Amino acid sequence: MNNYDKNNILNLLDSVSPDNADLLETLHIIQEHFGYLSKEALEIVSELLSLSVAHVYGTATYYADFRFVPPPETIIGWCSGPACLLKNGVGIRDAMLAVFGTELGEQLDNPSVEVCMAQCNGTCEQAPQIWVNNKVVGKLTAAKAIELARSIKEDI
Amino acid sequence: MQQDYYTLRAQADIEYSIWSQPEKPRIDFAYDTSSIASGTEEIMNKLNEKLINENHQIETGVVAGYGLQYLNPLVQITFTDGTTVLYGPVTSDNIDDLINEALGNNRNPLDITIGMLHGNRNDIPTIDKHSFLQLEEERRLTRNLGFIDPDLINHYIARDGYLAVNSIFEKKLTDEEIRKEISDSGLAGRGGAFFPTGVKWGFLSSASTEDKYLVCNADEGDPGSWVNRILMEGDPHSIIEGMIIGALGTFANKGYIYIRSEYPLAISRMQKAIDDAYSLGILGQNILRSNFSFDLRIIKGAGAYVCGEETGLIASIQDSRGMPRIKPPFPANSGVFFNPTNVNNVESFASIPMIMRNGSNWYKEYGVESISGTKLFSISGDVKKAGIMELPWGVKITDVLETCGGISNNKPFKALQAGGPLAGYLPSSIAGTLELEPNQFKEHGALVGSGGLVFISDSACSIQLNLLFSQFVEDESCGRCTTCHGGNQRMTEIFRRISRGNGRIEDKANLDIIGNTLLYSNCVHGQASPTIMKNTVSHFADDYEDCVINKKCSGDVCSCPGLTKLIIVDQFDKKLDEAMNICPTGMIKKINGKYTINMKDCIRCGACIELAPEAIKKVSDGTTQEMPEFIPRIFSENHKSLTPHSVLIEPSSITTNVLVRGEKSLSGMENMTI
Ligand SMILES: Cc1cc2nc3c(=O)[nH]c(=O)nc-3n(C[C@H](O)[C@H](O)[C@H](O)COP(=O)(O)O)c2cc1C
Ligand code: SF4
Ligand code: SF4
Ligand code: FES
Repeated sequence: MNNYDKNNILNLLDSVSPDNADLLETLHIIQEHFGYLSKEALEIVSELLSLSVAHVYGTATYYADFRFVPPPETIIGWCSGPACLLKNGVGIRDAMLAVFGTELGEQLDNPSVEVCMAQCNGTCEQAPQIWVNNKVVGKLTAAKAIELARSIKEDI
Repeated sequence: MQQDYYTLRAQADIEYSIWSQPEKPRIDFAYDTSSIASGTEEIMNKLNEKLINENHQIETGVVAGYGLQYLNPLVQITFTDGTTVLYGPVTSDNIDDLINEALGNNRNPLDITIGMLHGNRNDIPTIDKHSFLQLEEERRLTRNLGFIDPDLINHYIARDGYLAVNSIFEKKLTDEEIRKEISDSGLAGRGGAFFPTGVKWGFLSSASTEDKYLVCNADEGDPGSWVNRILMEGDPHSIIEGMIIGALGTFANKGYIYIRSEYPLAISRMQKAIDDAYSLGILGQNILRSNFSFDLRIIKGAGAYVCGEETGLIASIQDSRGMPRIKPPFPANSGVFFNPTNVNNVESFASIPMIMRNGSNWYKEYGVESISGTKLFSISGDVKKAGIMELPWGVKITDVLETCGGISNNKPFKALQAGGPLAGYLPSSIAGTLELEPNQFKEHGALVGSGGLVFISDSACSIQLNLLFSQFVEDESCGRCTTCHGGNQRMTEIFRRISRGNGRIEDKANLDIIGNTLLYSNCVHGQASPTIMKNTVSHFADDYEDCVINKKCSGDVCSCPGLTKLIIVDQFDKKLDEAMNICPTGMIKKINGKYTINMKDCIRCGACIELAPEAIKKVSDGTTQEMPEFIPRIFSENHKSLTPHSVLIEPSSITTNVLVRGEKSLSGMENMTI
């Protein structure tokens, strides 16, 4: 959904108000709907919450969750937690990056994919794991990660 | 019109008694983040489909997992006589077994039977006999896991939920009496600093502004700790009740629960719980017909570790970058929107109702002299059985390890990393002598922290682990203090260099300087970030010397890439072809019938060893190895730039009346027009 129409955004945000601890919530709502935070959206948020655009932008860029360009089709979240690291998490990460030829957090157009950093959510019995579009792929190994990355690459 | 507690309770009792002794047998799936990760949803859907197709007289439902995560997915069956039995790990192949079990058609217990939660069947052992639960004395914080549907407020009420709030109203307890009970119980903050909760509440209660805030810190950013998630997903109302009592003990009128975005299920369960509490008159105006009012809402975090620090959390709530600031002023003086505020951890709040219900002496039945009660621990790493335990303080680390089945692959126990990346890293020679008790850890320069226990085997090298933890603290520094963001960058650089095989004699002195400099940071993130490094240098001198001076790395899975290389020990192994094909960098080649591995661009991913374990070995021969500068970029013409900063290059045309947020010193600028 990429229709960054002002009314469209305002409809989503009818419950937020200035000075009411609503900024994070507002940004989450927009990102959930559009997949990222566009310039237009940040400006509307600024107006709606009586904050300067710089403040909104500065706040949004502080947090790892927010994106500022349309997301890729496939987001691979790589767990950076200790249980996963102990079980060759780094090897898994680098193997996938080598297949795609990207760096962590770098988005590729073709295939439309990104491997990004993610945090442990306490499902460490599945370690080492990644989340492919939020779906867990657990008990991974470097070889399985390579196969998975290759299948994504070949699927385009 | 608000209902009184007894009317609510009577309704809840009816609903709960039907649930706990159902007319038809009921299959309950453990539904929490860990269960979902283990594939519960798929099995649940298949089973439901089958029940409908075959028209079985069986109900289904949902509970929270019992904590035995290594046996996920878990399922419970409650039979018509009220007996509840736990099963796991369940697969799609077990669906018929479960249906037959629920219908009473199985002669013998299923081999996936774990234990009986409730009831009296002779053929199934009670759950407390289970090997993973041998160190648990009594489930207090987790008493509702497996015994309620966490989405149903009436289940909580029927198990004495909100009773404590009501008796405070009935007995007309003053705020002081509430705080005294909490102080007498010895409850110390579970966020990791163990500050006495009753005392902290005292600071807030003495403030006399119109708005006072109570904040529940559910940011749980420490990787390897997930105890707060268990409580939010398993017993959300216990946290709400704890906060209401906290409000009564401090005269707070507004509350926030700040939950990290990595926990979507916890967020939706807490939201449902709050909505239900509002609709029954347990939150909002005139709680349970009293003249006390308290409002509560959830703030969803957005992925920043230091938002777990209380001042960072407060900044994040009030629409800003979640950067911690120097204290004082303490939150009790200036917190959310500059109003007096008290921040407590999820587990601290969840401990409150039971203390008020049963009294401080009851709470002190467990624990040690320095700290009372039970504590949730999440156990992971190189152990055979990962999961959750509710332990009294004072349990031996070695006993915990034994109960978890020991170190996986029967490797030696090398180290314990407890309480997240700020809390420390102790060798087995020390950790093996310790009990779970904050002071014992402190003596060795480490902390128990918030409940994560990561056991580490000798397949990890301390230096490489240090690099990984150091990258975490560097990455998560908010950037306010040069000591912290710069210091952690330098620390990471040094470890990266050592790990690439270029350690220098003087690194130790430099790490020392960095460690001391970091102490001059604003918040505990910077101050505590060198803890693991200090522990390593003092307790793992061997690993350190080996990697820095002898250029030998003892790690096997988690090892320094620049100190290890791969060699082919068997040219005739048939699996070498597979290894060659899997290599993502094409570094394994077959030339004239002979396999070679070129270390220059080998990224040490380990895939080849995995496929040809007998033919390819990782060795560390005391020399620095060639390795790629970066991950080789193979298709680099294809990249899209990710810099967010290009988004707002054009000047904005908007004029707004700006409310300046942030530090109080800026308050003179509150209404500027730009
Ligand atoms: C970097 C950093 C991260 C923290 N993260 C958390 C956290 O995730 N959860 C938490 O309860 N406390 C966290 N704390 C501790 C809080 O600042 C605060 O002490 C705690 O929430 C107080 O609650 P308690 O008194 O109930 O323990 C963190 C502290 C620091 C310095
Ligand atoms: S110590 Fe680090 S995290 Fe804390 S305020 Fe300073 S820069 Fe930020
Ligand atoms: S470790 Fe990975 S990159 Fe190196 S040779 Fe083996 S498969 Fe290739
Ligand atoms: S460390 Fe990866 S899920 Fe916990």
